Order: sequence, then C-alpha cells, then structure tokens
Amino acid sequence: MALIEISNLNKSYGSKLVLNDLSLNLEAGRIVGLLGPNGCGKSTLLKILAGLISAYDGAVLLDGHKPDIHTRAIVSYLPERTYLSGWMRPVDAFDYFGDFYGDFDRVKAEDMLRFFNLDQKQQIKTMSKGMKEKLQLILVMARRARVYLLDEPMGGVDPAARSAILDAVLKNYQDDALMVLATHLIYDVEKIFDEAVLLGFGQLVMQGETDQLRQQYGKSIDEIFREVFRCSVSW
Amino acid sequence: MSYEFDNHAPIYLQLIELFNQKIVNGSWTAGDRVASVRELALEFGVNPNTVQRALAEMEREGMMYTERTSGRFITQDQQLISDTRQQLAEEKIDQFINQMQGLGLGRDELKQLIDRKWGKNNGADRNQ
Amino acid sequence: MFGKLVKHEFRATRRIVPFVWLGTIVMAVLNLITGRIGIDWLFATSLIFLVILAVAQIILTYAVIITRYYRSLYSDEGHLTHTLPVRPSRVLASKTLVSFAWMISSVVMALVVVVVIATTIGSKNGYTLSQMYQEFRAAFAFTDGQMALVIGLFVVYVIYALLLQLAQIFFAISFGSQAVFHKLSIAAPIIFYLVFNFALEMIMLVATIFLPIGVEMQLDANGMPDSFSLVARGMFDLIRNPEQPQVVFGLGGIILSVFAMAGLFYGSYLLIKKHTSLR
Repeated sequence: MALIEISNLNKSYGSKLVLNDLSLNLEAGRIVGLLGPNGCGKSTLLKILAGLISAYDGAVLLDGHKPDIHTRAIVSYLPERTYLSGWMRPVDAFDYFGDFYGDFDRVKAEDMLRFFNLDQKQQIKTMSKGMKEKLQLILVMARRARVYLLDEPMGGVDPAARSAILDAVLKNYQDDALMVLATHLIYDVEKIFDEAVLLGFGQLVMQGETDQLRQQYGKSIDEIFREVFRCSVSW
Repeated sequence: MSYEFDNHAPIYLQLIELFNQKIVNGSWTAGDRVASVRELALEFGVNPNTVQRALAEMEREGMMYTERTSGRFITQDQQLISDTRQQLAEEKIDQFINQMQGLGLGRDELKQLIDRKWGKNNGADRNQ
Repeated sequence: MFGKLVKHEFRATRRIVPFVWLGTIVMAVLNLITGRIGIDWLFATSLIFLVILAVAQIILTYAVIITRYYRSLYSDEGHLTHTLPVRPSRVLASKTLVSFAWMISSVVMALVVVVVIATTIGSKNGYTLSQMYQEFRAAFAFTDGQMALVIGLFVVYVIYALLLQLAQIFFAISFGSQAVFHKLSIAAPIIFYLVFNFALEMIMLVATIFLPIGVEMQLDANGMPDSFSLVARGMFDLIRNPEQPQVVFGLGGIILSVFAMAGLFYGSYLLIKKHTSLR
C-alpha cells in the first residue's frame, strides 16, 4: 500500500476546476518533485494532503487515513505563506512545535538555527522574507514526520541560500519518509528528486523516476517540463 | 555541494563515473570502507536513492562488495581497478580525439600540442 | 492537548493588556493617595487618567480577543492552526476559555476602578463605601440576604452577557471570513456582527414580550418589591393591562438567548472544522 493514495480527486473554486480527476500514488522513502506551472493545482493538492482543505471530491488516503487529526500528526507541512505570529521568536516557535508535535526534535532545530545563522531571540516581524522561510523550513524539517509536504521552499531566498536549504533538506530527511516538494525552480533542485510528478491543469501529465526520464528523453527534468508545457499551450 | 552534475544525463551514471574515478586515482583506497549512502548523498547533494543505485551498480560490476555485518567496501582486486582505469581513460581519449578531429587537428599536430602542453601543466593535473 | 492550546492561547494574548492593568493600578493608587493627602491638581489629573485607562483596558481586551481569533484562524497563521493535530472543538474551547478569562478580568478591573473612584469622591463628600452600600440597600428596602442575591444575580448576568457577546463575536468573524465574503475584507465580520446582534436583540425582545414565561414581582403598599414568583406569562399582559399591581419580567428572551448562544458556538465550531476559508 502506498503511503499516499489519491484517486479521482476533483477540487474546484467556484466554477474553476483546479484538480481534475487526479489519481496518484506516492511511496514512502522517496523525494518527489511536484512540478507544474503556476495555478496548476500544486498548492491545492498539498493543502488537501495537509488537511487544510476538507471540501473536495474523490478519495485521499495518507497511511490509510483520510486527512484528519491522525494524519496531521504524521504530516509536516510547509506552506508558501508565513504562518507564524509576528511577535514570536524562534524559541517561542520551538516551544509551540514541541508542545503540539510529539515528533519535534528541538536539538535538531537548534542546530539548524545555528547552521542558518539565525538568532534565537529575534522577533519574526523583524525578519526578512528569506529568514522567515528558513525558520519555517527548520520547524518543518526538525520533525521526524512520515510525510513532508514542502510548498515552494525556496521561493523567496537568494541562490546561495537555496543550496543551503537543499543541504538542510537532504541532511534532515528520514530514509523511510516521503517528501513531496512542489517547486517551479526545477533546475536547481532536480538532482535531489528520485521521482518527478508533472501536473498540468489539475491533471497528471507525467510521473516517473528522474534518472529514467533523463535517460529516455536525453534531457533534464527542467527541459522535459518546459517541453511538456510549451506543447500544452496549444491544448 | 561543490559538484556540478549534468542534469541532462542520469545522475546515477555520473555518480558511478565519479566514484570509479576516485577509486582508480587512489583518493578512495582499495579495501577501504565506503561512506554511508546518507553521507555520500549529502556530500554530493543528490538523492540518497540515486547514490544507493550507483553503489548497487558498482557492486554488480565488482568495484565494491558488501560484508553482511560491517558494510560496503572498495574492491581489492588490483587487476579490476587497473582495467577500470584503462577503460575510463580510453573512453575519455575517444571523446577527446573525436573533439580534436572536429577541430581538424591531425595525429602529429595533436601529439606535438600535447607534448608542449604536458610540460606546462604537469603536476597540476595529477591532483585534480 | 487542551491544556497546551490554552497555554499558547494565553501566551499569544498576554502582551498588551497586563501592562495597561499595571498602569491602571498605579493610577488608582495615585488617585487614592492624592485624594487622601489633598493634592488637588494631581488628584483631578489621576482621576481623568484612571477613567481613560479603565475604558481603554476594556477596549484593548476586546481588540486583542478579536484580532487573535481572526489572525490565528483566518489569516496566514491559519495554515498552522488548522494543521495542528488537535480537534477543532478543542481549538474553539481554548479560545473561548482564554478570551472569557481576559474579558471577565477586564470587567473586574473596571469594577475596581469604580470602587476606587467611589471611595475617593465619596470621602471628599464625607461618605464611606459602607455608607453608600447601606443607602442603596435602604432605597429598595432589601435585607442583607436579598442584597447578596442581587449581587449574585448581577455576577451571573455579567458572566452570561460576556459569553453571549463572545459567541456573537466569534461567529461573526468566522462567518464573515468565509471565502464568499473575501471581497469585503474586514468589513464583513463587522457588518455581520451588527446584523446578527440586531437580529438577536429583536428576537429576544419579541420572545420576552410574547413567550409565556416570566418572573412576577408583587409590590407592597409603598410600591416596593415584596415577593417574586415564576409565572406562565410574558410581558404582553403587562402591556395590555399596565394598571395591574404586579410587574412581570419576561424570561423568554433570556431562555431563547441560551439556545442562540449554543447555536452560535456550534456554528463557529462547524466553520472552524470546515476551514475552507483561507485566502
């Protein structure tokens, strides 16, 4: 049984269909790149898996459960937005995560804070966008979760910080966990994926092992992606 | 993450080439224990499963072997190592010759050029 | 988990109001001292500030409660709140408990200020606090036991009124933050609060007049309250027939509002559980 099983998933906002009969299985022990143009449903899919959106049609199972309070305990979700209160400092955020998530490893979080050169006592409202993103990544990666859902983890940071973030992701990733990383910065990240899922217009366009796709097409995942979605304009 | 991989080709093949290179030039010593998948993945900034696949492939080719309790080791078969070195060198030279021919260089011209350059670059090219 | 929710709810709301309380207490002490030793300009100034602070701390308490509820559930922070491995009912209960604690504390603080002002101004005019109590009691011809009942009823009423208001505030924010109303932004919760509040008041008024349940108060010869009894009549009788010697207080509105409060809390719970309303 796959760790995440999605079948015939439909989700619309008003008259706009965001996920269109999507079926997808994702196995434990993998780092999956969830790739697609903006507005193709990546964020919506992650929100459904995280238990943030409960109104949808179709079946979604994580470890055999519908998204609910049980799955939230095993899912570590990083949204695009800053979800911490401005008055909090990293120490307060650690207290918060430590209290609500049994799998939160505070020592690891403090290590990562040093690694990213962040100050334990700096208030979040005085942090730059990049610092906030790093702090949230720390919180999410310091959990020993079974499923990690990262939505554009490198959206607002400079290229130097991107590789530091990738390092942090690889370093703290558990071998038996499933990591789903949604991004549009494919070229920078694709070497850490072992599986790529291409979403377009709410549908599964392509799913495969990255090295196999490279061999088959003789191209990078980034190029395959561009090619697929160049064609898709004329759909 | 100082290693640049070519995203156009399978990364596990590039890892195999890189690891073989380290074995044949001696920076990974014959008979030594290989670092864990996790460490290698971090060092080269790639997916652990990709590293695992490269190492499994190298085991199949005999460049590495696994001892059930103590882990994965580099082969002590010097013959295999030197064959691999030979093979890697031949592949590179084939590519090189192809490229030089593409520039219109003949065999003698190329030999002269190599002799002249070799003196200048010597010492710098060993430890690369 | 409930205890942890309460703890973090408290942490998130404790940053402003306690400091205002501290200021209020300092000002109250200053007022008492200057009133006693007779520095009139400082007494007058501290009195003005005391009144301002007493009002400000209540307004601030409401502001803190409202912004905390809105932000933690319906701003970007909702991404965290709604992905915690806790039941939505616990989330709502923790917010209700902590918000109520702040509200009741700010009301108590306001009462303390009233008592302080009554003491200082009273002493200027030669009254003590206990004299004022005795005069109030005599005015209605209450016994001490009846006064205790009146005070008890007042406390119950304050608690109830605060809870009812909290239920309305929470529901108005939850309802007004639904995706359909995103265009209205923060105007939506405010409009809905006013609309729901008006509707509830109207319904309560109608129920008070027409629902046949009430407390009847018999008056004695001096027009003072004599005895109370529960009757199966609303206030409608009184309106038809204002000359009768008893006064009836309709209970229909209050009884109905209990159901309304339960409904509002339940509605907020359902909306939190559904949480499809993040921007």
